[in-house]
Amino acid sequence: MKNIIQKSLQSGFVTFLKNQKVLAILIPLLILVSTQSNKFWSLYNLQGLWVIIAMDGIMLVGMVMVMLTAGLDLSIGAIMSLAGVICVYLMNELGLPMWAGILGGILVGALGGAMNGLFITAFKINPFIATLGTMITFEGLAMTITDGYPVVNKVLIFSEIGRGKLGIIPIPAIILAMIFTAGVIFLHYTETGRSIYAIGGNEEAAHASGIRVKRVKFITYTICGLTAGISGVILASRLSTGSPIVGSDSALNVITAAMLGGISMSGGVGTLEGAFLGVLTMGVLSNSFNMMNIQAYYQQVIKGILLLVVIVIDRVSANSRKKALERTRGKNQA
Amino acid sequence: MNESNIKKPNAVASFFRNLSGQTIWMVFAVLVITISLMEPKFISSSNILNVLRQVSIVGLISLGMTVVLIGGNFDLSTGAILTLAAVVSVNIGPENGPLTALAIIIPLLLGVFVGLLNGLLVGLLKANSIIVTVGTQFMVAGATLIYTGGQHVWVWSPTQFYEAISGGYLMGIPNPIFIFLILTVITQIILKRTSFGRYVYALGNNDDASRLMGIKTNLIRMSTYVFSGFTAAAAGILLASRVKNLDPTIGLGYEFQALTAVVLGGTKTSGGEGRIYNTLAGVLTLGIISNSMTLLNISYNLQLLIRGLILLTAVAIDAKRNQSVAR
Repeated sequence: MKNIIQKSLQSGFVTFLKNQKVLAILIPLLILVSTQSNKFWSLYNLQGLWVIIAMDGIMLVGMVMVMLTAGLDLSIGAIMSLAGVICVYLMNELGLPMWAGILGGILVGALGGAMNGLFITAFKINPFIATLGTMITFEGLAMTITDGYPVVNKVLIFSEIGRGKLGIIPIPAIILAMIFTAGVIFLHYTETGRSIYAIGGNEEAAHASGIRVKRVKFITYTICGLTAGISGVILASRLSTGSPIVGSDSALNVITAAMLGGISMSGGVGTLEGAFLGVLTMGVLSNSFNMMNIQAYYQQVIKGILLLVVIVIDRVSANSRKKALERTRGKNQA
Repeated sequence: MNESNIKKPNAVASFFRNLSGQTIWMVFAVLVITISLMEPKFISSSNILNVLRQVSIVGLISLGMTVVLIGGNFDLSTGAILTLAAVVSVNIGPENGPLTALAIIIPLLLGVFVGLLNGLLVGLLKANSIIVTVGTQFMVAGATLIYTGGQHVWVWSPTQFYEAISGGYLMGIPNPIFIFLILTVITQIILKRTSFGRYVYALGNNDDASRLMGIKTNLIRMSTYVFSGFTAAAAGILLASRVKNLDPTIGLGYEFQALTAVVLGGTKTSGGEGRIYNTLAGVLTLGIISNSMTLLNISYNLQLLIRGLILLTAVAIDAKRNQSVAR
């Protein structure tokens, strides 16, 4: 018990430090972009920035839960595309009402996530490999439905979800705030949420202490698919198109953001609040690239490098955590 | 615990292992017979050579992928390496002798370099190889786009030698098939007849034990990635010599086809087990599935979906097999 308390204190401390690390990137970045361009703080740009952050931020909620169990979901980009395609297809090709389209898209996302969960828990496939396989399958499904072309939305009011504003706040940002709050409450104040941390910390111990590991994991992947579905519907609404390839970079972006915000790939470490700072940083980064007119190709290379850098940091801090744990264990024995 | 108790699971395990060793060739044979009965055009020698020529590019990547997988890792950057190699090769402009040599050597060196980078990151950091190689894939694909400015690259009048890499024949058989088969045999020899090959299997079976036995695990792991980068670059040169007018994203996605072929061929995704000749069967099986889907007029997009389902099935079988071995 003492160990667990110590460990949680320790991970809290590490998370705190890591949040500081992100801020060490975010604050200079904000200063830099403010001096480079006076448009950054304009209302118009901030609104655009928050719409972009909302897309990745919503998916981050699901991804963080999956990553906390030491899993990963590479298929969220494909789920996002598929959900957008299905949503627009249901409304425009089949002529269903708007609510049915939205619900259809979100449900497809949850179903895709549940499929991932099934492969990972029932078939015991490594999550990286399973979601790689489903990623290709979902991509193929989206391509098959649309025959490779984007489906255009003609239901005008649907576009309001992605483009509309409540006062000065874009609707996607409001949806993000609601989902994010729900995610934080779920992780901190429900039994399932807390067992997610327990599984990531030590799966066997969690199992031994009576946590239904498989069930919890299944839930995290389903939530992850659900958030990707919601994000996909919002994106389809914003672009007024269901594109089968629109989400191809999303998984990488969201994973990088989560790790930047202190989520460890080895599970159990980090908080959703911290990870949110990661998404914020990524959003500001790509926004400032656009402000400084940096080509998309360069952005792709920089994102690749950034991912590798956060992996390096993650591994180094995982090793130091391990050493610190061994040291405290040694002290306890002595 | 008595002896029979220990022996029993081993027998089950080896049964499954042997079965999986042969299944892919059986699947291949059944497919060939079925398709030839349905579509007599399929067994014409021109179509067979066509299929073989088509699979040679995926086949080359699959060789490197098999070695990396046996060592217990993944390499998803191969599609991007292939593209980079192809684009650079064409852009060098193999229009005379020295340039042709450069158009072959430089892409191969680039492939080796990216492989080295993968190996360093995965080997030293022990980070998850899938996510690391997705990162390098992004970097390399982006670098290729920057290099070309996103535009097509082409070569007007390549030398005969450069053309012959993919266009030439030897004894009536297209050169790419020879290149692929020769490299298959070489890879098989490396894996089965050299100490390096045995170390790769040992590494994939148990990393820590191999290190304690005195195997330089980081070096071996790095070498598997270098080999994979090399075969991917070689595949890129084959593609460049055939197409000669390249889109800078032409090879993205090849890594999934190769991964599917390798897993279909029974190479364990957790490492330590796999055979090059079964990879060959996996490559051929995927090749005839693609070919017959095209003969049956199945749309490209539906083919993508079917390929995804095949990969999922292969991965599920792999997981099932691991469990029966564990039990």
